[in-house]
Amino acid sequence: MNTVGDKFPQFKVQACNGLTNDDLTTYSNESFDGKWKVFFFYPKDFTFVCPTEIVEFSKNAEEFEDRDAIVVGGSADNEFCHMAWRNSHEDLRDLKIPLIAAPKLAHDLGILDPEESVCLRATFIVDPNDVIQYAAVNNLSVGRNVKEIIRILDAIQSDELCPCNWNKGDATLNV
Amino acid sequence: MEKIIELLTALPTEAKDLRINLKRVLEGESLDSEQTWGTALASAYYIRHPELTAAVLADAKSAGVNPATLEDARGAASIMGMNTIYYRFRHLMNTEAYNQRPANLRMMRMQQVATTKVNFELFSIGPAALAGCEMCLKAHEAAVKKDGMNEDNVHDAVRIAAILHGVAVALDSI
Repeated sequence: MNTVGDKFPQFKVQACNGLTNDDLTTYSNESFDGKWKVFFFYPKDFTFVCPTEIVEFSKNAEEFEDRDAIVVGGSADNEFCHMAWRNSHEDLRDLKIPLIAAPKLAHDLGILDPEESVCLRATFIVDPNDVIQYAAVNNLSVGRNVKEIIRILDAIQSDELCPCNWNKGDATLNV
Repeated sequence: MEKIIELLTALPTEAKDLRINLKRVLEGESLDSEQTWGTALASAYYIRHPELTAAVLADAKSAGVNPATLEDARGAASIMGMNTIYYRFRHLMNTEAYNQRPANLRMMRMQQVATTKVNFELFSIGPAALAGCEMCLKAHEAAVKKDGMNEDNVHDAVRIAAILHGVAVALDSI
């Protein structure tokens, strides 16, 4: 499985952004250029744990937006399956985040369950340079805590960028 | 410089020195127009005198200053509003207990500049001087010099901040 410090794999995926064929689109690495990305993967459409956490991510879409981050959900199901699920499930109709069809990406990330070929419940935070800064995977039956993901994103982004943070003797001050 | 001159004419004769200083410094000495107005605006925001800020902003716009410079001046002033308090605390305490703790404060704006890193740093110099923190000032001075600026540039940036501070005091004393 890819981990912290690895370059996020190259991908080109079909995505479902709404309830009709017009809401289908294609994303690749370039689509999110210069942004932070939170990718979360789940095993299957039409299951029970999945919608709760997807809805939770969607509810917090603005929190992520404030942090210059795009949230993307994905599984190994295809985009039409995502669309059908969203149409059939009341809570998923108004999602603010895209669901991607990611069997190849999941394979490249090393997060496919070897028995079932479904995505593990993996989460990645990827920085604007496409480098993974956080990687975690839950047991298939354990949903994610979105507040915790936001806390981690905050911690990663809270770099002390101010020169005031330089300590005596740091190379930068000795030029 | 129309709006600023309007303000300055309202100043009492006691503040004549400031009037002359401000006009001279805003005409630009070692800094180019973007750097001069960006520095002036960031300092004005930091000083928080609404009339003065409005005049500097209006004149910067009529001087044709790039909107990105106006944005960075605002960005630098607001981040410095936070950082001069926090880091001055750390510098004044100067104990391992605080030096070792991560600040845990977002300051992404310092990385996502609209103009250039060195100009953003330059706009931070005025606020650092106004805050009166020795280490903040030394750190920001070192940062702009590392990126190719010289002592004349820093000196003029601090003169702009100092004069504007004097003008704000004078305006409030009318």
